[in-house]
Amino acid sequence: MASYPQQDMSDEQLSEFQKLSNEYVPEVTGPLVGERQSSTAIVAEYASADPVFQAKTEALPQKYSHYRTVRGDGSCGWRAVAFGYFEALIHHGDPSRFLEEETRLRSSSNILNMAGFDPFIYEDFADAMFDLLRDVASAMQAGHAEQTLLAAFNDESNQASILTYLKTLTAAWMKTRPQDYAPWLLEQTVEEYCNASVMPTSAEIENVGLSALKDTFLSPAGITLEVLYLDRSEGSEVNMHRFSPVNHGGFDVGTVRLLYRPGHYDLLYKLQDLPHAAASVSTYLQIASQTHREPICAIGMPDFLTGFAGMSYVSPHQAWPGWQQQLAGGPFRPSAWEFEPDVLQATAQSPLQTAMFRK
Amino acid sequence: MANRLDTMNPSDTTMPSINQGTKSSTSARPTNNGNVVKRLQSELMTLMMSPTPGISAFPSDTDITRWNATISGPSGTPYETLTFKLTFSYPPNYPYAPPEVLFKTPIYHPNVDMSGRICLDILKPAGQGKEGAWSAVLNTGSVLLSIQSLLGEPNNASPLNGEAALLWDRDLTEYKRKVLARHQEPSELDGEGS
Repeated sequence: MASYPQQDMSDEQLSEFQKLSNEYVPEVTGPLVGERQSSTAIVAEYASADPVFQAKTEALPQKYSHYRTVRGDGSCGWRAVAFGYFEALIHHGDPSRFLEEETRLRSSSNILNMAGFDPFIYEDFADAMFDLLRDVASAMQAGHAEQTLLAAFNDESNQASILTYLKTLTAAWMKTRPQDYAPWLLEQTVEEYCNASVMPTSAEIENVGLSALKDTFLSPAGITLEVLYLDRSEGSEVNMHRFSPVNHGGFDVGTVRLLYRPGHYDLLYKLQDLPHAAASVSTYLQIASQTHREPICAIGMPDFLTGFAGMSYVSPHQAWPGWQQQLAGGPFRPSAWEFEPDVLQATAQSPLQTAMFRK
Repeated sequence: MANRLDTMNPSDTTMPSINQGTKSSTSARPTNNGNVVKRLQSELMTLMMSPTPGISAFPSDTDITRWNATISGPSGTPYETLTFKLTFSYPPNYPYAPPEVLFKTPIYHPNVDMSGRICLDILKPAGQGKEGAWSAVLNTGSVLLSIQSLLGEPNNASPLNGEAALLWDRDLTEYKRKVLARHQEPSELDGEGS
């Protein structure tokens, strides 16, 4: 501001400038939340970057097979957590969990009221959250939960409501227990921090806010938060920070993994985070660079598939829906001897998940 | 209520049309004008059920996305006993973007310019670092209260009216004289406007 030739401008011109700069929105492209894709795309993106980035991104697909872009409009961190939360619940496989979550979040209205938020204002935002929990739960029973979720998060106004709800929840949580967060804030009260860095429409999530969001939103749902930092620091892999999980009866629903590049958040996935259908797609994508014998897929599907005539890696999209049903239905369920020894451990969990899904 | 409406109507003629904004933005991204209307109706309901002394707001006759409002100057400030008229126009993506708020009553204040535009952090959309502090849980009532408190506590660090900022610090008597010289009561304003 000091560098402006203020004295040469009238109030009128100045405020015109002010208005223009207020209305400036950085150019953003792509969907609000994109389709899940192979993380080899990130490697390609950084192929010509400096060696640190190259090394880190090349190592990425080995641990994190997939990622999903989130639009960098200044709310990507909030949106990534919100989307990851729903995905974790879907992946967990128990539709009744959605109702439990709705009940839990409804009961936190007390916190919002205590923090001084007006029900007539936050109700609309909360309703968007509850509606989506129900929509996804019923879409899950119909078998298209992911499409429903993706559509909801690509509806500008709907997702804005959900993000506003999460911001309100986070601010209320912080304001009602300021002693927990004040030590992390520099020269700011919790109240000031919330007004400046949590509640504003496009205030991107910051570390303290993210920590509070995890405490009030993810942990009680049994969801763990991991942030993978892709930056120029020393090392040949992304640095992972797992936010200390809060124990809520010890149940583990899933993990939200965020890929952080300075100023931007996307979602990352390990193979174990993927729905079974998507796991088969990853096999297809990786088959070119890996030998057939390597157990590249944690649930051991490649070996299972080769046991059936007419099945091929080349057309997993056509092949899968049918197989998934049969898997769930039972007659062709693979038995343990079909798998190589080192994938047995990983498989041990899938019958359990499948059983819960069917409930 | 009818009385207040009557005093507000004449200024409608000078206001810019919001409909242009609505049209241009529908092509760019899906807007949910239904949500704006629903939210504004709910705000109106709350304002009418539990009115706050010193502020009032009501939609214009023709368009629910344009409101007229009044605030009274806080006591103990140079604006004591004065009443100010303002207009609100709500964008199609309200409440995710702030309303545009203008003083219709000419006001001498460090953070208001000659055309009534207000420099206040919560009225700026977010996305410019720390500047924009608008939040979707703010509303017409809370904006009016913020503007009212801005009258008694100007932000002299970033003034639109530099002279007012200086006088506020150096010579409050002269400041108050300028405030009264510029001020017009709503009745005088109406006479001019029509």
